[in-house]
Amino acid sequence: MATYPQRFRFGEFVGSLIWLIFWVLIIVTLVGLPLIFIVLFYIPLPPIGDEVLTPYRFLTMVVDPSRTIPIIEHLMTTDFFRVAAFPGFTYAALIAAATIFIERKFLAKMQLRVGPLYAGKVEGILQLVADGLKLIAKEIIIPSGADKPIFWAAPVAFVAVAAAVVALIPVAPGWVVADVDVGLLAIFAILGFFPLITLLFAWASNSKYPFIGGMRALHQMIAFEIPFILSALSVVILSGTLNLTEIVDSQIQSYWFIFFVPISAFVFYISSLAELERIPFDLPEAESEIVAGWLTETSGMIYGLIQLGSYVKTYALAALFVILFLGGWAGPQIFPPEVRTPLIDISPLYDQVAANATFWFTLKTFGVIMLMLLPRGISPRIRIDILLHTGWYKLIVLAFINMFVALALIYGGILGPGGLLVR
Amino acid sequence: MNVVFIKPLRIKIRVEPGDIVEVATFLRDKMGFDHAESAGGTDYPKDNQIEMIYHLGSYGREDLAPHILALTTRTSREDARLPTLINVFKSVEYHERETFEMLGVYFEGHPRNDRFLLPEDWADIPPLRKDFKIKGR
Amino acid sequence: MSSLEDKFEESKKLGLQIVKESEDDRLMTLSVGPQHPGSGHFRFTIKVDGDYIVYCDPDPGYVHRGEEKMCEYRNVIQNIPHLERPVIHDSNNITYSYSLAIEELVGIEVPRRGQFIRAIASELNRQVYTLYWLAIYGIFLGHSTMFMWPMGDRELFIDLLEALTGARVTHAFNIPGGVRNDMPEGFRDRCIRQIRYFEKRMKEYEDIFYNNPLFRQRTEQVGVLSKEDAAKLGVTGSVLRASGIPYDIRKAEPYDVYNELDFKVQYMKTGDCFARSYVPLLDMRESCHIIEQLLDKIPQSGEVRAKLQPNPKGPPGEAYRRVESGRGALGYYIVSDGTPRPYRVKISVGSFRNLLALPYLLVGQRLADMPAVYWSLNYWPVEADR
Repeated sequence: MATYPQRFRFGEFVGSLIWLIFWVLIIVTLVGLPLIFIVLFYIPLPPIGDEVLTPYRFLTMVVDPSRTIPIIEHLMTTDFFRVAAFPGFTYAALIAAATIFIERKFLAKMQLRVGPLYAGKVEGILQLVADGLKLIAKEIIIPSGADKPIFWAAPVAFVAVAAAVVALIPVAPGWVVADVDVGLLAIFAILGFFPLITLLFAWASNSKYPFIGGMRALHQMIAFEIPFILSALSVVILSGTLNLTEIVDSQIQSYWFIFFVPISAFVFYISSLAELERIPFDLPEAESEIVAGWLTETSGMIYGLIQLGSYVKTYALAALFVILFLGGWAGPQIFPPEVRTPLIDISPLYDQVAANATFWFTLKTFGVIMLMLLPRGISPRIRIDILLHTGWYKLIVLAFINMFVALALIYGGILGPGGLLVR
Repeated sequence: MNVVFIKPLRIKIRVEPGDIVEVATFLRDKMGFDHAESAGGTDYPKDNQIEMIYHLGSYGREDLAPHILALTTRTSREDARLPTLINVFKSVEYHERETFEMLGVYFEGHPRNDRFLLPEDWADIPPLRKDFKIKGR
Repeated sequence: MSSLEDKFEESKKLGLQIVKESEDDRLMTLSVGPQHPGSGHFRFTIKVDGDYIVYCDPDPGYVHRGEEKMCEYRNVIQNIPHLERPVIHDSNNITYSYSLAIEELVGIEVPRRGQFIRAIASELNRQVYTLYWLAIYGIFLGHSTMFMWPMGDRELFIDLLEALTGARVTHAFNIPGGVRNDMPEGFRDRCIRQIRYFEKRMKEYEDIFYNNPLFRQRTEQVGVLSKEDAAKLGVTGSVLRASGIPYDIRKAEPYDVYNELDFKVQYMKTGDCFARSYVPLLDMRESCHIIEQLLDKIPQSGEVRAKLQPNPKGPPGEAYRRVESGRGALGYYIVSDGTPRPYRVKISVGSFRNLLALPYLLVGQRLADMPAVYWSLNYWPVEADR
């Protein structure tokens, strides 16, 4: 592990630096610059403002940062920004990371302890960085009889499917990666992949405890998908559309749907806890009964990917709850119409509506995430027969009740186009 | 059968191996001792015998609650065989199994005379015998 | 016994056959071994048919150290440190019984203040062990708060024991003849204050843990041990009291000063996992009353230890004394042949006796009930292995 450092000789140090500079110069002049010119010969450069963006113009921007504003503005309209930064993967990953940290601290305070404390100066805030580095550095052990292609592909697919769900979620009006007209239906279709991936991974582990865990995950997720869809169906009845942006718009026009269909919100909440395998529904990963369930054979970065995917899914389902029941990004306007910064003028980047929407959306999502973290400190693990009984009998009945309430509201003319409560 | 000693709350009796099942049945049915608290063996190399002792207690009868009756029998060290009391007192199952592996006493009628506490690769004499010396002492 | 025994006999036929797994696809053999978060230092093999357990075979001996053999090589006082290693956090009780037996053999009279301090240490240890047991029960059911809170409150009692004996666990406090040292100053007030705080906490435990609907659903009607079965299988301790037999050695055969104290034996009649997990809480409450009475009645001054010869030995004879520990009746059968070293020491521990109920109770339960039933039998693997 740790090697003994060699004795430091200044002459050798200077010699190694010169050697490094030499090689950098050789590679840049002989390989890098020709490559850049060849590439730039073939790619059309985007026009910024009224000039074409050439590398020389880019280099002048290093001197004068205010000239980067048009570039950033142009970048924010591209699809790549939407997918990678906001509201796509980076935003979701940051919220997932914040969720993990908040969960550990929150749970610790509930349990009379302190949580992560030492990593980072302020109350252990760099704990996640430390954990991420640790997971990257660990050895990935694959059992000899395991099915290697699926073993490697399943965690990546897990994160990919979770990211696909995130792609359909609108954070602010106009800020969504894929504005699909049947957005809600697409989300449920994508969520149907998770039991498949879990079972494939458990089967590929070639071991008894993951097998039991995978079967339990399959039973659990499938049992709770039906109440999940039925509870979202009441919202679809109330708003008349499957498009997520329009669902939020219809809530802005009337009141938040949680006041009309609270039981559906409750059923949705419980079903999302079951989909996320959170305590009390963490049977597939029950530690004291089946070692680690379907995650038994994971180690190192595979485990890291699955945890990342799990928390991105948490964000996605919490965001879905906010969109369907809590009015999405609706909230009083608290941002000023114009913003003045002393040195650099960033007014082309600032959009008052988008900033306000993002703020309220993030706030509500964090509130729902805290609500999802809460049962972890309160209840023990549920048993499989109680789980299936609850999922198939009780929750479906409750979801139906609220569907009838929603239908009554529409037919009674209270909601829907031209209704009483529509502003 | 003879009585070895009578102390307040403790009585010890000794029987022959052939009679032990009968005596135990009598104690269970007529006297009310319904379970054996512990069962173990002691090695007496001077008499060339191994003594098996069952401490019987009673949960059912209130007046017998503080009493412990020690039912003992002796068998020779070379060929240590004893009838099992598992059909009389169910609670001796694991104790007799442990005595088998620790002292080498075979219990006839016990369903499993097997390794219990010792590791599977134990290749020495039964450890609680006095011939077995702990290494280093 | 008929239904429980019949079930077990049938399951034994199923389990003891050597069935190749590929021939019978329904049965799956799982080894709940030492490398399992749900087993402690203990291994048992279960055969599962779908979600139901059909056969269970315990296999202790992972931590077998040969305590009984080691006792024959050391003299009476040297035996104390290694004898308390089987249960490190209930060490006062396991050496209490040994001290009583040696005192009977050698003929030592323990001074009265020593007897009271021994009883106080024993009761405090009972709280420490039961809280640890409750914490692990929480983990086995998947309830992490039920792990953290008892562990936190256990620190109070460990602090008290540290002030009294000098060590957090493995106190080596009881010796034949009394205790090693006297109570420090201010111990009484500190003890009373912490007991008052703990009584309030026990009410919170009841509200949050025991009245939790999920906890009840998982433990009620699970692993029912009837009264006759409990007596026949010879279980002891809180398992016995949860099945309806109010047997407590502190009341049945009082030792030291327990016959001067006023407390009730707590028991429940249902015999399921919930009763087995609730009786220790009731026991802890009684323990608090007992400690208060002991602190009131203790003589203010006096010796705490009888003077002993350097190598105490007594006439040849034997003694069997028992004590109520956290797991149940802990009995020592000591044979002495007139030399300073015991001839034979046989320890009868509550865990070893309760282990017998495990195969009988697990048959027919779901796989998810396995940790709930297993740990509710108050089984401490290290003690059973000795």
